[in-house]
Parts: sequence; C-alpha cells; structure tokens
Amino acid sequence: MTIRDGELLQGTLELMVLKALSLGSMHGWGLAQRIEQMSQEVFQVSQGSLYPALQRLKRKGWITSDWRVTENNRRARYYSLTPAGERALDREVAQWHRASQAVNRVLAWEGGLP
Amino acid sequence: MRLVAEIRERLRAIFFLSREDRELDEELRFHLDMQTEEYIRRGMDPAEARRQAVLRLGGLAQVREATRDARGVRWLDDVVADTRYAFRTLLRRPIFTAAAAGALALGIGGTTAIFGIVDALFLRPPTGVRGADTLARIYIVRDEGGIRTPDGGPGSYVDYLAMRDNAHGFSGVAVSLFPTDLDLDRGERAERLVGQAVSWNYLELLGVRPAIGRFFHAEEDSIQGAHPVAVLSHGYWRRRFGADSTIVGRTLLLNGQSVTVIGVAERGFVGAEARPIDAWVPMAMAGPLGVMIGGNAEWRTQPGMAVLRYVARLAPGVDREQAAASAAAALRHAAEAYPDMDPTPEVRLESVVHARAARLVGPEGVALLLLAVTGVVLVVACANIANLLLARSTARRREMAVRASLGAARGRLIRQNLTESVVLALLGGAVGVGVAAIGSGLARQFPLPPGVGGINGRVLAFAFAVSVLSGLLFGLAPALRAAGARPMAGLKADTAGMRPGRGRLRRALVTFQVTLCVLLLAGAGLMVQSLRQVLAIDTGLDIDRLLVVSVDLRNAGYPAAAREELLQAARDRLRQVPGVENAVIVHFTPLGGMSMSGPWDRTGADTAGIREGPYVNWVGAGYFATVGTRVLRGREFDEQDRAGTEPIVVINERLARALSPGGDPLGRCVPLGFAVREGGCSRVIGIVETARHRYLDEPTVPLYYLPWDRNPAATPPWGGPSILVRVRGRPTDLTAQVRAAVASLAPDLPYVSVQTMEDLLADTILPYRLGAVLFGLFSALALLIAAVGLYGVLAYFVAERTAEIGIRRSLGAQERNVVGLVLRQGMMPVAVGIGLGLGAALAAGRLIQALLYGVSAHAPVTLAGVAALLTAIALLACYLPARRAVRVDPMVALRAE
Repeated sequence: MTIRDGELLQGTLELMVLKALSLGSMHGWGLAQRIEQMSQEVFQVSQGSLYPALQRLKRKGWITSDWRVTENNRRARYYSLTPAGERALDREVAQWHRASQAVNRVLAWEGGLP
Repeated sequence: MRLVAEIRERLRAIFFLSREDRELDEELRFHLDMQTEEYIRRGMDPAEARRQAVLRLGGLAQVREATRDARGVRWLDDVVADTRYAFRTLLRRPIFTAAAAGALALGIGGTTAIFGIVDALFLRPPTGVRGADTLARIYIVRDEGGIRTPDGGPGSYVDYLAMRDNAHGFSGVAVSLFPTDLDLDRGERAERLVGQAVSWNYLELLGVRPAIGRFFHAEEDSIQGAHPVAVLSHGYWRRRFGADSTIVGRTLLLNGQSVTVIGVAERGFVGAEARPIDAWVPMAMAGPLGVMIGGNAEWRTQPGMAVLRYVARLAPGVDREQAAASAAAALRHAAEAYPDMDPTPEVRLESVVHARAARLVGPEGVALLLLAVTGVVLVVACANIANLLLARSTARRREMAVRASLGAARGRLIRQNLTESVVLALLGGAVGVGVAAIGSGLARQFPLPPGVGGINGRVLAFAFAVSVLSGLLFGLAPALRAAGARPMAGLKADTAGMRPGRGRLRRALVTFQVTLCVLLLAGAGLMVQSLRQVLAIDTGLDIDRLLVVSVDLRNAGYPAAAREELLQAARDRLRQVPGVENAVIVHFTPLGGMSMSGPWDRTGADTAGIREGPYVNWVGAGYFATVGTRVLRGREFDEQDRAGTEPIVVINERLARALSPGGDPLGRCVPLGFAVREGGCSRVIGIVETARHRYLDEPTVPLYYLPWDRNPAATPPWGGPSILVRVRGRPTDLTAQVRAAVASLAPDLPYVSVQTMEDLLADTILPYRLGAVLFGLFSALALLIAAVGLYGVLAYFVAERTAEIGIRRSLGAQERNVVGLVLRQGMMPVAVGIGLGLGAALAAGRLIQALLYGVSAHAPVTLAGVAALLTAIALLACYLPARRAVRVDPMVALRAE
C-alpha cells in the first residue's frame, strides 16, 4: 500500500525532507527517491509538491542550495540542511512525536466517556 | 536569523527573478531526465518514459507556478508585469503621456519646491536644536494699559528671574534679546553683523553644541560688562574668518568693545528665530554693547521692560499645561512686589518649531499660502488627467472587455489601471523634482534663513508620496470605470453608445476644476491689485535717487559733542561729492520702521482733536525740499533757525487738522515739543504734506518735526540719526563714493552703512510682489490646464455625438442649434463652477485679507473680472469643438455609424 503525501498532515512532507537531508545533501529527484526508500516504499512523494516545499524551507532559512556535479557528470541543484534547519528538525520531530502519540492515544481509547 | 534569511531570499527572488526561473527550469529538467532514465531502466520505451515522468511530476507549468508562489513573490511578479504593461501603454500614446506628465510635473514640482520651504520653516525645528518636543517658547499674557494681548508677548528680566528661580515645571529657562546689528572692527575693515544677546544657558538649553571652543559660563552672564565674550555662528566664522580655528581666544572689536571669541556654534545653527544670527553675546553684554538702551543695568530691574523672548526646557515628566501653570504662579508671586503690574499674568507655551514663522504676513505667510496654492494647482491637474483617462477608458472599453472575458479578475484589472496611473504620476514626479530644483533656485529670492528650501531626503520623500497619491487620486475613477466594463456589453457595441448620464462624472470634474481656478484667479487678482495699491501709495516722499547713510558713532564710544561734529562734517562733505544734490540730517529715517511719540500737552483745548500720537522727528535745514515732501503753507527749517530763540515746529497736515478746531495752527504757539515739559509751547512755522512715517503700508499718523540743529541732545539714543543724500542719476552708482567720503573723515570709523531708499522699501514690498507674481503664475497655470481639460471634454463630446449631430443636421437643425448644443454642454459645468468658485472665494477671502493692502478680499470688481475672464477662456475652449460640430457632414456622419 502506498500513501500519497497529499493525504498526510500539512508539513509532513517538509518534515520528511528535513530528515532526509539530515543524512546528507541531495538534489530534488534524489530526495524523492530517498524518502520513498526510507519509508520502505510506503510513501510515494508527489514530486509536484516537492519543489514548492523545498522553496518554503529555503525561505525559512532551514536549507540552502548550491549547484554541484553528480557522479554521472550532470549539473544538479543540491540541497543541504543549515544549522537552523538541524535545530528545526529536532524541534519538529519532538513535536511530531508528541502529536502522533496524542493521536494514537485518542485512537487507542477503549474506555467510555472520559 | 530566520528573518534575515527570508529577507535575503525574497530580495534575491525580486532582483534575480529571471535567473531563479532559469535555475528552476534546469532543476526540473534534471529531475525529468533522472525520472525518465529510471523508467527506461525499468523497461519503458524512451518516449513513454518521458511522458510518464512528466505525469509523475504533475506538469512542468504547474510545478513552476507552485514553486514561484512558494517563493512568495507572486504579487511582485504581477507588479512588475503591470508596470511593464503600463510603460508600453503610455509609450504608445506619447502625446497624451507627455501632456499629462508635464502638467503633473508642474503641479508636483511647484508643490515640492514650496514644501521644502514650508517644511524647514514650520515642520522642523531649526537646525542644531535638539529635543524640540520638550522645548517650549514662553509667551506672557498680561494686561497692559487695559489691553490683554491674547497671544501673549515677550517679558522682562524680572519675569525671567521669577520663572528661572521659582517655576518648577522647567529644567531650564533661557532668554534672548531681539537680533540687532553690531559693528565689527573699524575703518576699512569695518562691517556689520547680526548679533543677539542671550542668557548664558541659551545655546546649551536648545541642545546646540559648539563646533570648536565652548559656550558661555554662568558667571559670564552675571556682572554687566565684566566678561566681554562672544560665540560665532559657523557660517559667519567661515565667511569672515575662513574657518580659522585659532579664532578661539581672539579679540574682536564689536560696537567699539573688545570682545573675546570663546567658541563657534555647530554648523547650520543660526539661531532659533527667523533672522539668522552671526554672533551671540551674554545678556550681561547687552548694556555695554549698546544693544539695550542707555547701556545701564536699569532694564534688568524694571518689570515694564518687556523685551525678552523666552525658551524653556520642560522638566522630565512635566507636560505643557503643568509647566505653564507653574510659570504663571511664579510670575504672579513676583508681581506682588510691583503694584503697577497686572497681578494675574498667564503663560502660554508654544512649540519652538513654529516660532520662526510667527508672522503670517511676510515671506513665511506667503510661503504657507503658496503651498496651498500649488496644492490646488496639483489637484486641478489631477482632475484634468482623470478626465483624460476617463475619455481613454471609454476608448479602451473593448480592450478591457476582452481581458475580462479572458478571465482577468476585476480586482486585477483595477490594479493594472491604477499601476498605469501611478507610473504616469511617478514620471510626472520625476520631472517634477527637476522643476522643484529650479523652483527652489527661484525661491532664494525669499529673504529666508540659509539652508531653508532646496532638495533633501524629506523633500524627495514628499515628492514621491505626492506622486503616488496623485496617481491614485486621478486613476481611481477611470480604473473603476474601466474594470466595470462587462465583457458582453463591451464586445457587442463598438461605438461609444448613447447611454444617458454618460460623461456626468467628466462634467463634474470640469466644474471642479473651474471652481478651483476661480479661487486661484480671485486670489491672484486680489494680490495683483494689492501690489498695485502698495506701489501706488503716495508716500509724500520722492523715493528715487535717495541714499540713506548711517554710522553708529554712539556705540563706537564717541562722546555726544564729537558725534554731532562728525555728523555735520559728514553732511558737509557729502554735499561736495560730485553727483550729490543735497544731504540732510534726519533722526528717524522715513519708512525706516522706527518712530517715537513726541511730548504734547493733552490738557489743552488745542490738542483735544489728537487721537493718536503725535509722533516726533528731528530734521535738518532743507529736509523737506531734499526728500520731496511738499511744504503746504509756511516754511521749513533753514540755517537761520539757531538755538536760543523761540521753540519752533513744523507739523504735518494730519496733525494740522487735529489742531485746527483751536484755530489755524500756522503761526500759533501750540502745546507740542519738548517746550511743553517746561510749560511752554512751540510756534508752528510750517505745515507739510502728510508723508508716510514708519512703514510704507502703515496708515499715516499725526507727526511734528523739530529742527535738528536745535538741541540734538534731546533725540533718543536709538533709531538714528542718519543722513539722507539726494543724488543725480542712479543712486547705486554713487554708493561707493558716498561711503568713501564719510569713511575719509576719520581713520577709525565704524561701519558706514549706505543703502538706497528703494532697498529699504524692498522688504516691505517684497511679500506683496511675491504674492502677486507667484499667485499669478500658478493661477495662469491652473487656468491653462483647466482650459485644455474643457477643450478635451468638448472635443470628445462632439466626436461621440457626430452621428447624432449628423442626424439633427439632416433633419434641418441650423448651425446655431448645433453650436448651442455644444455650448450648453460646455458652458453648463463652467457656469456652475464659476458660481461655486465665487462662493468659495468669498468664504476664503478672510484667510488672505491679512496679506492684502488697500483692497477688500471681497472686491466685487476683481471677482467679476475673474468670472468674465474664465467665461471668455471657456468660450474659447468651446469654439474649436463647436466649429467641428458645425462642419459635420450628415452623410459622412451617418455612414460612419
């Protein structure tokens, strides 16, 4: 089963991009591949929303970009995490855990009216 | 740092928009290539792989748009696009653009130039003054002779001490005396500068800093004359001493006194009042320098000597009302010691910013009025351009309809139209700044403090704001109209159509313009008439070819007898200068602004008719013949009128009339002159024409003349004397010889001032002249703009109704019917505008009455003339369109339909 990111909470894609970038700089297409692999092919990144998301992260100053040459000798724009981005990732991950635990607790509720 | 990053990113996005776009395209291409290769690797055929890759990405264009939106510069893209579009549209109509931008440039330029002056005079504290919001000018309101001046006035040294020591609302109170001429040096190097005596803390209290040296210490302001020190203004230091920094510690000869320079004030500071100051001295030097009469300390102890101007710094946390109340309490307490003084004085605190523009009559008042006038011209120009744009918006209805039907949102269309207006206005504004630069060059004609006027950051910001505002102002109605175009209606009927009520807005705009023009023209008419009245004033003096020569011998330390001797020697010497007809001594130079009321016995029946004055002047033998005042009856003073004989007097006709109930005053001994102090009287030996005395534009006063050669010691120690020199030919040609002739009398004379009588009058006439010239100029401009606007409206009207006129003609309408149609269309809004304008002019008349002389602000002749002129111009503007309408060929017109 695959999940499209459009069906996920807003900001999830950005969170995943940050996490993927924390493993090392990568270009846009590579990021899409990396996220899909990291999710063990459960997510299928809608590539159309990837680039606006990258742009938003750049505006926030969490990532930067530069042009590099790939191993196949092609020019590509690589994105990297900034120190602010690293801090943001920690923050967002912690928040994500809190939120998801809360959601899980709600969903796992077995008692009667609280 | 997130904010910084975001700002940087946005700026990058704005300035490198196209590079960003190119890079995004390259990035997306790379992505597609990689995805395609991936699909090929999975076994798709290349063409299908590419198609799938694009599908997977979700469409190149969509991703590009979404990414650009994510950059947050969408609206900027729109603005850039709108601006480009606006430029293209404007360039396609170069004549319209040039005309509109030209009119705007004149309006914005004029307003900007005048704003530069008004800003410096009214809106900003004087250069060098700091913390103006906690500074206040103090005006004291008290009863004087039963009259309570509502605005309050200056106060005495006693008041100063009371407020300085007992008013708790202030952290400091400082005083200054009126600016005064001081003579620097003697002999050939002698010159005159403007000095001001101030309390020791004055400069510091204003927040001014010394450029070099220091300001005064408290002890330098304590004992009269004990500390002869001075501070120079930066400008004077530069002009006179070439910014020589060894000036500190140097001794200057000021009014005959040796004064040590202790400092130079910071650059740009020339005092806190209208007249620029060259040098400041402590109040304790006012007496010794002869600035205060008599040179003694009396004025410091007399509560009636209200000649000081106050400025105070509010204590922290104290507002103006509290400070004023505490000052008033201190003054009331002090008044208890003086039974003559009003026991309940009040205190008014004013901003230091406005103090320089206290007089509303005079150049400052004219400047303020002119800002209003140029603003009105700008509004007329805006109304006109709105009209032109409305005409065009009709023409562009089709274009708008097409765009609307292609899906452009209404708001988008409005924004695009407004962008066009603002671009047009900014074009006008850019040229307008050039106009303003030229205009402020002309404004140097104003006798304004240095540094006032000209282009600076604030003025540029003003020009920009005014431009954008004008653009929005004149663009709004056309933009709304354009955006209101319904797609179907616009596309169906290509012709303008004949919907009733069309053009109502445009006619209203014409009415509005005419109204404003009437207002301006009425002002101009009144100003011109007023100037003519001033120039036509019968002064009772022959102003041309008259020089005024004066030397301040008193302050230079000459004893009375030596002064008298030197004065007479100078007169005799001047009479021998080639080109000089005559030279006479006078105490108060006529029209020189100084006067004094003379002694008279008010108990006698003779003087019962005197309501005002009488004033007194001392004149030498042959004075009246020399200055051109006619002797009506009797004779004037001659060389035989020596001291020791009976007191004699010459009176002017006004005084003669006031005296005549007691019988013909000529030959009678009347209770006038210093003889009345010993119970005597003076014999009237002559009656002269009533000449203007103090100021040109002041009503005549009763005045009597005493012979100079008799007892000059009775003359006051101020206001004179001077020598009037009647010359042949141009007076300015003789200035140098006259000065040299006087200077040659003694090696160490102070500055010899030589002025033409015309220059002396120029200051009085200048506001009238400026008002007339500038008002005339601007209203002519407004009239031109309005006439062109009216022509445009009518020309458009005729063009729009060509078919209708054709039908009318073919149905038998006569030429005059057609002309009548056009005239009705054109003259109706004009007539309404004239009516409204006259009403407005009557209402606004009160505002400029103070600037007028000898003419009522409601002068019916002027207003009627304005109405006639505007009607004539409007008829002219109607003429061409009407002629075109008459020439409409019915067949051609109908075929065009």
